[in-house]
Amino acid sequence: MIEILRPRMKRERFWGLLVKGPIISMSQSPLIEILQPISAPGVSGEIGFRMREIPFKTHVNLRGDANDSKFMICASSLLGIDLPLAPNAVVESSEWQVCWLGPDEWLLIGLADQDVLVEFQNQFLESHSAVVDLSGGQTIIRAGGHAWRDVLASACPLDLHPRAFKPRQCAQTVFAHTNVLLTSVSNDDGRGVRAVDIVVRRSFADHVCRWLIDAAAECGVEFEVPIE
Amino acid sequence: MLEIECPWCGSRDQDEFSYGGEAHIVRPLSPENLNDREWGDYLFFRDNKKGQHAEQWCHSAGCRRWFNVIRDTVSYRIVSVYRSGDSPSGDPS
Ligand SMILES: [Zn+2]
Repeated sequence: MIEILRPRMKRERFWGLLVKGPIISMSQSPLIEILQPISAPGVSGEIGFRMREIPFKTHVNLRGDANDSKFMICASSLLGIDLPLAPNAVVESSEWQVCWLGPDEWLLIGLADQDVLVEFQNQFLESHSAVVDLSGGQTIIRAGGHAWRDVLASACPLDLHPRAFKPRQCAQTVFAHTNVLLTSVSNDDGRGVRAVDIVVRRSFADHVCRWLIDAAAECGVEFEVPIE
Repeated sequence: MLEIECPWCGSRDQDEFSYGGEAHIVRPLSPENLNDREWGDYLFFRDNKKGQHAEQWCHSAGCRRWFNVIRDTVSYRIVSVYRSGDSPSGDPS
């Protein structure tokens, strides 16, 4: 059993009180209950489905008017990349992955513990916009292996065929009765796990993981403990 | 199960959508001048058409946008889909 607890030295404002010096708070993976590696070959003896969590990333929800050039220019300069306007497109800069969520809504996924919220809110102040920190509210499960499409299709109505769900695309849909954002991952992370990122609300992450482990039993499943 | 073409996301399963009733119901400009019957008609009474029916759908598990659908209530066939503010042909009204 591995404890994923990490000191965070970022918040100076705590429960509305301004406190001198940094507050140390603890981040905990929502998968704390199943934090032991699982490796269970399927009926053919192979591992057809691999998954692991990518915890503690910075998640920011950004809303604004795509026709407002001031807003779009501001976003480009902060993110180092233009906000995608094509539905369900994903673009990446060196620091940010930007997913289209709607014609006026994007999810920005950044490195761990980026304390950017105040700066973003100040920068976007001049346009009609909203910047919301979702970092503590959702997590990412990265899944791969040759059977990942079949495993996800066990509880997802989205067409996952490569013809329909392409690299650098995302899709908000339902998986196992839960709202998720699926992001097609084109780059290998060097550990043999690639294919799809499942962005899920923190309180549903455990449920989704257990469903995936169960659904993948037939083809063989490997669950790796989170790394940063 | 219907397959609905979201005007933004493309073809998706009905599971991802929620139904919002008849489309193009216009709120009376001055409700204070209506009698109870007229206000009740606006609030509660709908056409319940047999045939092509204009209705609102929301891609609630997807991009969360409301849009309009013309659906045949006999065959369930979706005749056309268009964004809110557009007319059924797809041109802004
Ligand atoms: Zn949509």
